[in-house]
Amino acid sequence: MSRKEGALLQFAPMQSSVDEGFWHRFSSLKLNKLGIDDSPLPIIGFYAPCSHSQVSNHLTLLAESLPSESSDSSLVPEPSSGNRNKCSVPGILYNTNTVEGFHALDKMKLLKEEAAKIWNDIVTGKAVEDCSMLSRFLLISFADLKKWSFHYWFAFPALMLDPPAALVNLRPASQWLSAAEAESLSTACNEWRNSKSTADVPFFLVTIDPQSRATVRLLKDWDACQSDAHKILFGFYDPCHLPNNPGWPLRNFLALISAKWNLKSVQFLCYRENRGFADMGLSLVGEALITVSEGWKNTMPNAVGWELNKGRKVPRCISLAQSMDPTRLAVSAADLNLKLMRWRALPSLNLSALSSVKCLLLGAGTLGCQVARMLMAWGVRKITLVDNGKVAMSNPLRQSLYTLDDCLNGGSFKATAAVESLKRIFPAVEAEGVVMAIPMPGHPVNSQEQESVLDDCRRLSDLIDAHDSVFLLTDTRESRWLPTLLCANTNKITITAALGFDSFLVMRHGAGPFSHAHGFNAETAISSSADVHKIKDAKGKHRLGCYFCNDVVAPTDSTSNRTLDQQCTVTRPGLAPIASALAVELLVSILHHPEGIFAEGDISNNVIGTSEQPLGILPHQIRGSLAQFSQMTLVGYSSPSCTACCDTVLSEYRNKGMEFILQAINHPTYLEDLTGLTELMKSASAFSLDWDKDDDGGGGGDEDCVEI
Amino acid sequence: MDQKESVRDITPWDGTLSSSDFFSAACAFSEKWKRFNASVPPWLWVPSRKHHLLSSHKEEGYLSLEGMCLIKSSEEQESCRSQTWKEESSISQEEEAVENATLVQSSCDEVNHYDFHIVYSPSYRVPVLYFRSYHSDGQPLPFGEIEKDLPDHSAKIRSESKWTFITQEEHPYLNRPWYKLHPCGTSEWMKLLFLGDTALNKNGFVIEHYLVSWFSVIGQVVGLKIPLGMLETVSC
Repeated sequence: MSRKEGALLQFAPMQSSVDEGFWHRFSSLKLNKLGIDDSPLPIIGFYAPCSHSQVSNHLTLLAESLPSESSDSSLVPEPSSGNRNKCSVPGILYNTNTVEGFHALDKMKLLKEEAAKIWNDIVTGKAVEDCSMLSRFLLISFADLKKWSFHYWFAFPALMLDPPAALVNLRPASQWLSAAEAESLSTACNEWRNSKSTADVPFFLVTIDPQSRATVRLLKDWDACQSDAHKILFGFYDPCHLPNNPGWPLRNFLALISAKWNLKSVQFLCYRENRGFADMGLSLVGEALITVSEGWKNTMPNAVGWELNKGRKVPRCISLAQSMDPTRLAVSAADLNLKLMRWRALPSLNLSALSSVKCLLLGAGTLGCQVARMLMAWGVRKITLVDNGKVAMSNPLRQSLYTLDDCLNGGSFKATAAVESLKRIFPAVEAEGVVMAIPMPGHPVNSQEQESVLDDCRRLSDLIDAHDSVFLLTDTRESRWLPTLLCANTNKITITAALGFDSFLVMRHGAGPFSHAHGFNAETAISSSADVHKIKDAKGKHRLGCYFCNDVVAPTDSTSNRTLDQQCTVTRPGLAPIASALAVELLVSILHHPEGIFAEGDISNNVIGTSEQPLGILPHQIRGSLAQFSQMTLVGYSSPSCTACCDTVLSEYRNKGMEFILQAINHPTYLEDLTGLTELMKSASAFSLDWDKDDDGGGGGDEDCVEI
Repeated sequence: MDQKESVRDITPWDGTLSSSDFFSAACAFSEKWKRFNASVPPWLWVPSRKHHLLSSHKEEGYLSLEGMCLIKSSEEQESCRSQTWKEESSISQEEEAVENATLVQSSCDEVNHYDFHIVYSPSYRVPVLYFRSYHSDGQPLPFGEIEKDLPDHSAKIRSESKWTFITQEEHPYLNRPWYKLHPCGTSEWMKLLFLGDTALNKNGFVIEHYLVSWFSVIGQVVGLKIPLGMLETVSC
């Protein structure tokens, strides 16, 4: 296909391509070496002749375009040589430290400076010696290392011929050359491309003798080409694939040819390849007419070359947060871990339930720290810790979220320190700490403290409302009373873990007696069979018990009048991790059970009865003993006289609200009277039986730990 | 010697291969690929050392196939890729010399570039296919976009087989996230492949053929075809 004489020669613009690796290395360089230094940085770009009939090659920046980080002195990248797919061209990078600085750069001035370098190389003859100088380029950028986004803009300076060159004709090389010439040229080019010394030399001369023999030579051999009656072609690696336009490198080549050798008519070869071999069908031969005035080369020509972004003269932006932001990488690694579990072992794993469940941990001590970590391992992201204590010197050994630093200067608040620790482990966790004491029965409050205690009660109630699952992990029995009541009232998943010296209890509380969270349940008021409602849950099933269901006394002050060693919770260290782990696994099982909080309690070795869930059985209580290295699963049902979860107590709470709570806090016998425990005790002691002296637990002896 | 006996003498193969075997297999694979598949870019061995402190005599590195282009027609282009830039950084008409010698193209086809690496996994003792995709300007493609490029039967294979799934993990040499086909099931199905192929059985397993067999399965998931000629296991 040929063009009319005198048509304007239009060049396909050079296109840029920046490999991710370039930005990675640049970020690293900036953070470790350059700092705020914004002096221009020499870089290396790479391009190669087009090798695909439909896709142009680009001027590419790779990690190796930048100086290596390890070289202590030089900030100059190592040029590669002899690589046929990577012709090195010099470039310069201006990186600004602010986005305003980026926009404020004087782009025309920078372009002019680089163009001047090219012009200088042409005039002095340096470009003939090292022709890759003709494709020198400019890059401006702003690297936002907080958001991992990079604003950048390339310029490929091209010296303008004035008036512009005209295109006489342009057609595939195979049509311009004879068959013999084409074959000879292909062979010569393939040799040129396969020789390490010339493979990456992007501009060359082609001479074809009358015997159709083609020779490829370096530009500096120009004089040697003059003597014979040969055809001469000015060849260059053309990254462009378009059939009707030559690529950008030809612009500066023509400027060189005109300035250095004063030619008016130039036959050029746009050298292109296919699958690594010279292709004379894709390669083009054309004739350009240069009509510049005599004095044109005496002054520096104008230059153009800023790269367009989808047709507009604006910079580009690339976001690499996905592959560079460490938090995102941590999140996707964690997700991958869980997904692998689901793919390979547990297809019914409900990852979205785990990532959306909101867990409230009452207590940020030995149990609380471990439970929080285990929850994160299961993909739980929303964790709130409540604790009014400070980290003490002995804590870091057993409470796995704290270190010595948290103990200094009187000790940080546990709730706060725990949250910070969780975030250090996994930045994407949504953790909150609440410094608050839990109001407890048997610890009476005077009138001055009353209001603040009521505030705490309300706050606790709000916290429980705002979460899906509550872990009772405190170190006294009475501190579990109010949370148990509030959870039973709102049917929240409640899990208790309690430690003895060498034994533990992990249990899930049964559902509460009411079907909806708030509001007086009219059914219970007019019910005839009070007993039925005390023990059945909203689904009409026999409710599983809570932590207090087996108590015959109301929770009372267990902390006063204890000796010092009894006041500290002393347990075998292995217990807390075991109990915490079981507590979390229990939650996961509940979340995967179709009936959730209403599920019946399984016991192990139960062959008949409850259907097999993918995660296994869902027990009600797990009691373990380290002395025996044993563990057993138990089921306990709710007691109609339970001080925390029975219908009577909850109705009273619903009726009287905080008044009731305050009464229970100040008068522990109130609860016993209310639930009928007082009566029960009276009738029990009415029997005169000779009990054998028994050592079994309950109220005797060791009060140094929470009674299980 | 009874051929059947010689096969029985060999301890049951577990589907894996050693690191030096991987190198031999890689050489054989890239050789064959060049011969039978000249129309696509070749697989090149990229020598790399992970542990600069340990001196290793064996060749360590991976196979690389880069620059596969997938041309998307302009209708398929995502309009969300266009940026709305304030004009603060543009160049006004007066500044840059007005000139007509630059060709302005009205619309370009978007091209998705793919790079594939075959990397040896020392923990699973099998090869792993890593890949990534990016637009012409270098912007990486998210997995959602890559999925659209995968052949239809790929989704089918991935959902049916619990052994074949794509994850994103750090490339062992380049320290950047690449996508890969998880290797946990590879030894299993390589073993099955060996047992099921009587041709392989007869001659005893030649380690050079490992990658060819492996690729005949893996390639399907990412749409890389293996020419039938390469699968001939009779001495060549």
